[in-house]
Amino acid sequence: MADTTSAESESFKILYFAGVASFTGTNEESLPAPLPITELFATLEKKYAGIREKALNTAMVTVNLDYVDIEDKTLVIQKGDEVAIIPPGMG
Amino acid sequence: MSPSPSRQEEIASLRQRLAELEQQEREAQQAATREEIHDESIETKPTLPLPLADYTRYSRQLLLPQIGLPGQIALRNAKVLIVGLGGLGSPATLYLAGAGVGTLGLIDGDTVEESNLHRQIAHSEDRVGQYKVDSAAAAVAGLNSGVKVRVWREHLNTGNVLRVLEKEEEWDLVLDCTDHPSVRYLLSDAAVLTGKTVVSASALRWDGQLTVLNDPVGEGPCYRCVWPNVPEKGSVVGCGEGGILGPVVGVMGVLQAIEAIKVLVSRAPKKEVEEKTESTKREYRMTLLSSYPTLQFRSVRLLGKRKTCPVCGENKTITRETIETGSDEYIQACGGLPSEEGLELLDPVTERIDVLTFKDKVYDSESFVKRRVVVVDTRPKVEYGICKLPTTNQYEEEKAEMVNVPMEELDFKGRPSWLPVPEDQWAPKTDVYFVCKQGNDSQIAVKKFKEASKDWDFDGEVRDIIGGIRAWGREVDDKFPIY
Repeated sequence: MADTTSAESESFKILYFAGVASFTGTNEESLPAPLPITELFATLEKKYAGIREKALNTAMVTVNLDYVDIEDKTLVIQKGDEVAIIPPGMG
Repeated sequence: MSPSPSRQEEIASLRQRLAELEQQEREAQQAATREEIHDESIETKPTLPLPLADYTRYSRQLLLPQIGLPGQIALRNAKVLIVGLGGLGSPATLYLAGAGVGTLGLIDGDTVEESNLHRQIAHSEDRVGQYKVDSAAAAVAGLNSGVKVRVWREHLNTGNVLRVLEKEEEWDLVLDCTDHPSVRYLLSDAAVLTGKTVVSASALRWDGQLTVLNDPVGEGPCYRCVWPNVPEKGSVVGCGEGGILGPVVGVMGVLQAIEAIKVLVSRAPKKEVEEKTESTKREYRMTLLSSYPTLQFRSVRLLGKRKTCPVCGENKTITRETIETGSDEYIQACGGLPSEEGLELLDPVTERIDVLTFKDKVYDSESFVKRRVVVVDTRPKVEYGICKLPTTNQYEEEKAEMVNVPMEELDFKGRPSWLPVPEDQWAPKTDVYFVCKQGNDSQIAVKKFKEASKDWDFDGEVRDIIGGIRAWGREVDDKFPIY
């Protein structure tokens, strides 16, 4: 919410679903772009210690509504992209 | 006011007996009805493919070009297995019964509890205590007596999954309405091995997800293709008690019914379907619902089958045998198949305290030695806001200080700032009690506290309350809310 216009324009949106949102305490936020997809989990781990083991490792990831492989070295999240972290079902 | 435990048991067992008798009666009536319909169609209208009444009953969906008469016949001939009769299975079952699906199989080992009723709409107050499958069968019978219902009063597990999926009935489709990740993986694996399509959904908090797996059979991705890394024990994603809003899980169950009807109708003989189905290249998708703060649906594109998938990929390591012998990962997945086993991290005698002794010691004692008591409640703030232990005794005398420090805020780097005791004021002797909902988190907290407090001059007692605030509600104060 407090993002300035310039910060927003250099960021991507990330959505957290279900149990992942329980961990982050928020459903969505903005993170700085560009970011290689291979660094996404490490970036989130820095922000939310423990999230990798407890929530991310089992989750699927989409970028702009497409399922992606988080080990894809060619994929870089760009500004304006929408990333979603979706855990397996639980309730 | 409320009935005694033995009376409750008696009521529950009578309700159960009633449910069983009602089920038998329904089955007898259904058999009789089917014979009648059969006779009637032979004698009077041998050319009508549906019972006469069905044309009126299902007219609103018959009018849809994508359904029509062939679609309705397909629904009538269809057999659908619904695994789990909770928040998802309730609406899914009711809508499939309403749509005229001929046979519904219901499997669930749970009984109806009052706390289910806010979201599990197939059940009702007068059926609390009955098996959920019996309660749902009664709801189906009330809605559409033409639907044949078969029930299994057991949880799906490695021992029965292949039998129920394959041997006992020829299911056209399976609905995954379960609430435990390991059952989801088990069901998906067994469905791939027995050639069944699965309509899978889940919901937690304000979010839901829906996808159709192994569709077409042998072509579409399975649960493991989408989520290859099975959640392990302790994963908050898999096992968190995050809460759920009734309509959120309800809408996901309704969406499952939509997808189920589409799959069943799509298998009707093509030449008879009036409107040609578009023959676009098959896309695999998942529907996501996020309903807070802004209500939004998203449809994300999945990849197809994973070559490395252990159940439907090139090197299969999950087979009928590994399922039947149980020598697979379901046991580990998210703490295994559902059980109520509690954590045993501490010595129950020297490191824990039961609620009655705790009450005695803290609230009722007339000890001459003045002790400072700090109760640390480690539940999330929202739960602390629902109810908490008292700080005073029955004469309104202050007996304890209370702080709410949710687990993720329990910080032991140095002397904890959340402890309401100044560093130089351990004396008079201070005792610290940790409490949570059921007595698991509180043990972890005591363990951490003990390790950290070695560096402080703390010499009071540190214990956790066995069974948490639930035990307090059960054993000490019958006016205490249990949620």
